[in-house]
Amino acid sequence: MTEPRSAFGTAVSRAFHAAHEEARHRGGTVVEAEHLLLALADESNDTCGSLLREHGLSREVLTDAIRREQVRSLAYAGVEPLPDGDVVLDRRRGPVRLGASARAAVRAGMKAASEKHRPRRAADLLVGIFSAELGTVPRVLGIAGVDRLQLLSALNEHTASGVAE
Amino acid sequence: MDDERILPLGERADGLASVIALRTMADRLEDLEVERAMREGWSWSQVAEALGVTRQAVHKKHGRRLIDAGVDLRRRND
Repeated sequence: MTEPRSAFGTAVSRAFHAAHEEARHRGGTVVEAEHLLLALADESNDTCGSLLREHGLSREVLTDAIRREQVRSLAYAGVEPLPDGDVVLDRRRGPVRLGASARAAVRAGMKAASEKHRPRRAADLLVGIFSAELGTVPRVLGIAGVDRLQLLSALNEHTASGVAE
Repeated sequence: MDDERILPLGERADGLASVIALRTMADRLEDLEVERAMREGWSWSQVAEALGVTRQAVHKKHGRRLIDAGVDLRRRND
């Protein structure tokens, strides 16, 4: 498999680095698809950030939806989240690795481009991230009130249009 | 199987997502409580015994992080 960090161009390469920081900031050492999504939603990421904002997914909206997803998941087990002030963040060190959901997103994004016989674009990684039918990202989209299939369709149109990135 | 039940925000998915959320929360709680104990002067051996793991395991997992957090770990060789 192509090195995931460089598979979708320079902008996405930077986003992988930012996703590592997202994972660390949340106290973990595994980058999952939601960390990639948050990194790509950053305003500094021109292509993906503006595409996501066009569909109502600003970084703020995503951050809030991720928090609500965690609250909902814990509530199923009858548990309340730790108070924010008690959570130790940003102190885990050591290598950060790609988790299963992030690797699946990379594979799906690469497949989306290769099936259409065209170069990979940054937005292909978004297609890969939103291809998952189950897991944290589709839950976050549902909580944010975004239709995953409509979003995928719009992203596929964008990547097919060949808009310069 | 009824496909309509396989929804990302359905009851089964909530149950499975709670497993992830609890694991993440347990990791954070471990970080928090180990740091509290070490700040209060517990030894690595005492923390390890309380957690039911080896001293080496708890030191490997938390040593660097606690130094970065400014916890004074001198005279904690026991």
